Amino acid sequence: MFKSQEGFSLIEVLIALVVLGIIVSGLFDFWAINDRLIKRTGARLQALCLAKMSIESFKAELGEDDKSKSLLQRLQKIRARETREEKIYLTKWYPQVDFKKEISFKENKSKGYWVIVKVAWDNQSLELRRLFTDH
Amino acid sequence: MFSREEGFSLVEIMIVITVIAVILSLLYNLQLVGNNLWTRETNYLELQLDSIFFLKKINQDLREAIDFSLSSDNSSLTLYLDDKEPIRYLFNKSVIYRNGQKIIDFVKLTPFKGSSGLLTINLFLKKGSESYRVVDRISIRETF
Repeated sequence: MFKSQEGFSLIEVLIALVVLGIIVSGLFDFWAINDRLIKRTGARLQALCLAKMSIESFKAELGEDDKSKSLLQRLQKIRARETREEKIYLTKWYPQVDFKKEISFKENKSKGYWVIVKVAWDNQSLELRRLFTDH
Repeated sequence: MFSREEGFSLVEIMIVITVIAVILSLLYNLQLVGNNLWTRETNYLELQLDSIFFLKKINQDLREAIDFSLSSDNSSLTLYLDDKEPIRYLFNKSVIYRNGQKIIDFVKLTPFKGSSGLLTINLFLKKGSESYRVVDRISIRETF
């Protein structure tokens, strides 16, 4: 009844262990990739809001600003303030992600200026732009 | 008929029990790690989706508003519309209500801050061990 039977050879046991190892490591990789994807989506939303924040500031402040100065001068003044603020708040709000914000202007056929806000982080970037004209 | 047959020795049984215990402990740990990761990811995703929904709603409301006011402790935000009843956002004990209806949960601090047509929303959510912050700014002026 309990006769001795042939067991597995060392090679068979090793192959089984390797296969099991691959399955477990695949499972961990799957979780890690999933985790990274979710975090990346979160960072993208934060970056989008950062770019939008600057555009909104331009919108609100240009309405109140001294109209005697040229549009470009007013835009540059707001950009200087935005850059100052960014230094204070970016690391405080988002300590885990290294966001870099860059604001530039591009003239649009003498009708105004495109305000281009570029946000970069972790080898990724996005750009938001809006045209501002002088009324 | 009842001849003595060879069985397992004590050492063999102990080895088998040890191997089974190691395998079961590995499986349990794997299940535990998987479960923790799943809960964390679900919480984080939920916070992100809640933030998107909340920001979309408040952006829509502010686009229609002609002005807004904040209470002294920034816990209540009132949006004034042209020909409709004002919309009131209220932060109370980790929940934000919009006209009395719960709109977002797990909020740690009042997110509203701002003046003169520019509202800053510093939304900090925390659920379990996961937290998520997103800061947005919305202007009500459309002069440009």
